[in-house]
Amino acid sequence: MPNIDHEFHVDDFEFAHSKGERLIDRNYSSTSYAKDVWNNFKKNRGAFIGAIIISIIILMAIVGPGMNDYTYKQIHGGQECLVPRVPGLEKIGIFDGYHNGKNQYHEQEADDVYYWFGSDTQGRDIWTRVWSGTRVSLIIALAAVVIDIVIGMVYGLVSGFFGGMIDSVMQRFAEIINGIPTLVIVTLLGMVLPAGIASIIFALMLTGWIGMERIARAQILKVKEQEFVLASRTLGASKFRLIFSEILPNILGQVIVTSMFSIPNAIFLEAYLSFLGLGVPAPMASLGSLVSDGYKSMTTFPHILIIPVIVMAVLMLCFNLFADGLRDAFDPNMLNK
Amino acid sequence: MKKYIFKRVLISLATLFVILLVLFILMDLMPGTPFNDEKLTQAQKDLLFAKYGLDKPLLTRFFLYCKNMLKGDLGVSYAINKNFAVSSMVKDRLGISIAVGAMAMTLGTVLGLVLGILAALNHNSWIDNLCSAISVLGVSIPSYVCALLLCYFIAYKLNWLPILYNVEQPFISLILPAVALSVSPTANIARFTRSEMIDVMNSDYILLVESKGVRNWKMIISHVLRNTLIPVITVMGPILVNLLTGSSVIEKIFGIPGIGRLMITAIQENDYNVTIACAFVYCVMYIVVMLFVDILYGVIDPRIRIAKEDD
Amino acid sequence: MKKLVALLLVLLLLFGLTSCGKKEDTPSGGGEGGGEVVEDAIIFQNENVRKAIGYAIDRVSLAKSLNDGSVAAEGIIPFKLASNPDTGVDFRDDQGAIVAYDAAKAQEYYEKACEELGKKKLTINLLYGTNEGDSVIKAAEQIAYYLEEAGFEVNLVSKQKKERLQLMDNGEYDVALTRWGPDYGDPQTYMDLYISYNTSNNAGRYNSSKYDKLVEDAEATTNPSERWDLFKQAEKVLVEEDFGIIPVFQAGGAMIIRPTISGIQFHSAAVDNYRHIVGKDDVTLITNTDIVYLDYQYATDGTSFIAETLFTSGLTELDADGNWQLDLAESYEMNDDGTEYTFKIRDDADWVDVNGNVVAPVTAQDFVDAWDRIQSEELASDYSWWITDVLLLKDYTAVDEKTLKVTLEKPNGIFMSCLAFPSAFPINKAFIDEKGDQYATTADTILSCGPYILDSWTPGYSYELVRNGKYWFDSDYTAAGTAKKVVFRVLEDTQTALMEYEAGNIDTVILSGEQVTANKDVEGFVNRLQGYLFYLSININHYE
Repeated sequence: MPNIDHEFHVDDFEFAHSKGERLIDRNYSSTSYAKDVWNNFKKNRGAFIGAIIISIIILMAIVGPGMNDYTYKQIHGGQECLVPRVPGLEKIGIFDGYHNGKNQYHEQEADDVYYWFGSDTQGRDIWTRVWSGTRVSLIIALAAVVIDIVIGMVYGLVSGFFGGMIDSVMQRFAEIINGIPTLVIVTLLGMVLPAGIASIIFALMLTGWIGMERIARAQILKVKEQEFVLASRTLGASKFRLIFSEILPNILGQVIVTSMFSIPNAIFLEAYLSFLGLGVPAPMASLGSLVSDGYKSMTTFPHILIIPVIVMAVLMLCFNLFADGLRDAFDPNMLNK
Repeated sequence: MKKYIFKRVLISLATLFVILLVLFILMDLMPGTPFNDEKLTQAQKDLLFAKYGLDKPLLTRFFLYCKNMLKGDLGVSYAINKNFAVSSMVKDRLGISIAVGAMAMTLGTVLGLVLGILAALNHNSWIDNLCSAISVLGVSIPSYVCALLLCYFIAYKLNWLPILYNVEQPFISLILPAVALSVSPTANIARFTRSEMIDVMNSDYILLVESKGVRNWKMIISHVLRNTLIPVITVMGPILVNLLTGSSVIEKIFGIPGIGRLMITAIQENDYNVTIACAFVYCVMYIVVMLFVDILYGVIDPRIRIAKEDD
Repeated sequence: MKKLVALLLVLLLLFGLTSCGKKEDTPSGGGEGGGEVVEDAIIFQNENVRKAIGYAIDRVSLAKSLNDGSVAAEGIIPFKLASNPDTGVDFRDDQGAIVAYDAAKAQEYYEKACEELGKKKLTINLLYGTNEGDSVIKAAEQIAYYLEEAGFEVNLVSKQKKERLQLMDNGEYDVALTRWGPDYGDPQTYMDLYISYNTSNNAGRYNSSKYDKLVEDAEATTNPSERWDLFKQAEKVLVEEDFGIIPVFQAGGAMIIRPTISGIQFHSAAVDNYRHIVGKDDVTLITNTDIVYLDYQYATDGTSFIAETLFTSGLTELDADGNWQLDLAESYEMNDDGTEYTFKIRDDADWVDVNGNVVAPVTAQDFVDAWDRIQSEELASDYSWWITDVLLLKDYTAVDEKTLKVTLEKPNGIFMSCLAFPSAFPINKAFIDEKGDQYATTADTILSCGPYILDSWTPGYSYELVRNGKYWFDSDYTAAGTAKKVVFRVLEDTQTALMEYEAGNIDTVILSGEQVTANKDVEGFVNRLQGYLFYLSININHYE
């Protein structure tokens, strides 16, 4: 039996922070709201990837159309419906311009011509059109959503804050507009207004703001009665100040999340309008108009459809993932989902 | 509750009246007339305007229209099927649109619930990711692309179902359109169900049930599902109406004589009466569905019922 | 209750808005602000601007890229419209091409025009319709591209068809892509349009006394060869000298017809004849638009007319070569100078109801009634002028039950073939009076006197015609093996239609430009030429 020493010695123990470290309670340190959101967001892998892909698509929408010599409306007679052909890649057998076993480019005597994404039924470069179309779609969606936020928030805030008869009248008005299904009102407006981006934005906006308005109003009703607002009110803050500096910041998070969800919605509605022939005016392209144009060639030259559909689907997917992540980040309660 | 329902119905009716006026104003703003035609002279156009009473002021026409509508007369078509009674045009086509819509909605609800529940039960596993991916994809691809893909592979290549709508076998030939139409409701319902269900499963009362040792599947059916379904019902209303209005694209592809297509043609042809009738039918459906959902919600959920009775 | 009061307030607000918002409620509809469409309108009075436009467009490439069977226009008169009364040569071949593509010339004229107008850049707002078919949108984009190549700045103004027509009526446009479908096989159907006082059709108010004189002379002369020459000269003045309008392309119609069936007769200047389809008893055809109106005195569109020529007949019908044959008329007599005709109507020509039962015989009075009705003001028919302006009828009377006597204002070479048009068909007045407002709204509210009976019509879906056993020619039809049942299926989407064709469920399919390349070698592929000629209407003088 070994001899065990039951005695305590001085060198058995040492100070935990003997190296001059400062004691910080990391678990309960105070972090800013924004940092909190950012930290939560980073943890969500899907949302993070979504954000990165969105950035890449936005970047391509800006620089993509300028990457080759074609313009989005340049027509090349005789070079219609060519399949994609990319220098370099063609050597390994993909994107080599072969369709049904024949080199289309060779047949058109266009051996030194390259359409990276192919050409459409009028001989226009799909690469350029897809990226400039993405640009147009993004502009439409972003503009519609920003206007939604502004109108919806102001409307909801005013309605919820003042309450009473003002609230009632404003809510009835919103209810009437909401009573007409979105697609009906968007189609009707698409007819009434002259064709153009501004009209589409307006049509999308007219129904989009109501969702935002509801959130703003619901939130303000909740926040209005809370102590900090009461405190501010007793200190003599004006109504304007109350709305914009006390209440607004507190509902911003949810509004941003909702607007992120409405961007893919706006892109989708635009695509629907394009299919009805009420989309952006030709020869301008949008993702919606490219998809609905490509649709007509789906069984004969599918590349004209597939490329914009992929860009559109990826964009929608990423916006949805991004919005999901953002929602979780803004609302820590949701994090466990 | 009765008083509440009565009040809601009254307000809905009044809202519909105002919506009708809004539609009339929109119609008046629409550029062009139903009678613009290469082969028609100005004198003939004026004659037609007078014949149909379109030269009267807007409000006169509006009240005349309201009066006739109460008698079930929605006017006649000016351009699509000239001089046809709009009420019969709409009636013929509404049924078929509702049939496709109902099929699509049933399919979408069942599939959506299954996907959502599967995802929630296997939270954070590959099944969850797969179900989520399917549902996000469902809202990312335009329905007409889905429709044509289905048509091409299932009907044309595999020959399992008819390609086009056929009056002689309405059910079989409406399956494909309904599937194509159900893609987006499936996705929406799946997403909503998933998040609601996870919410419920993390709630205190479920934890209590669990701690009492109730067996897993029994707990899910009698506690989790019931409480998940209540909020899901609220989103079904808007989804259903979106589906009905969005069906025009599917109707075009499958050659279905439905109301969605009728409305789009009417708008393009400036056929005032048909446009107003179709748009109004949609508004009525929307408001009725919302009203129904609202009341149903109150019936199912006692908290809401009490809150509404106080209103 | 508060909610209801609030709703009432909103309602009042809306009423207020509508009553003050509406100031001008003209019968011609809400006039749109012209400023948006018309910019530098006055530039089109400059001939060099018009010449630059005329030379700028590469019509051949354009037609090729439409790929739907369309061909480049060579003048305003389309191919296969009319043939020389002496030699039988087609007008187009007789006249030759009077438009040309010359990029260098276009630029030259453009620069000259800029100089003359004292402008650095000329802008064109090109108006076109978005719901007039894919080929119109494509063509507009191509035209814009070619005009930009020539130096112009082009804004494409896209409108729905009805609004486009409205804008053109009001003169609120610069240049518009428009079309004209010939009503009958004579150059007059086009040449009439651009007479300076034709305010309904001459949207750009092209104004040339030389042109007016040529057309007036042509219409006045009784000598067919002289008339022909005058029209040729008139076309040259309009298109080649003045560039009053710019012809672009003639619409095609690529389709596949199942090789086992035949007998569909296409006419580019008249209604297609579907009466003689053989090879199959039960034929299903595709149509991309529905019947608009069963009343053939009211209809204006090709789809309605095709159906109507199946279930009703006129005094004559057109054969495959476009020559007229007697139909309900058994025989006719003509006086020496060709101004008086006497028709003997067949004894076995009868009105038949939807069940195939004879209701009444077709009488001479039925024609008189029909021609009275179509011109009546209450009907406001689009084709009310058919009787006076095309048939040139001065007087028509029923001599006895089966004898019809008509007097013409002057000899009319196209009289007999124009009788084959639905606007000249007879009606049964008693039946119309009996049905009142319901007349011609369903299959059982219309009578048949043609080779087929309209059996059923499901709007938006299909209409079915079955052979009329009481038709005078029916036994010959049976002998020839003519289809017993013709079904028209309404289908807009060309891709599912093609799948349905390949699956064997329908017997014809109309192809879009996108589908032609892959299907042009398929057996049964035809590239029919339609009569529609698309041209640019230039707003020369039509300003407020």
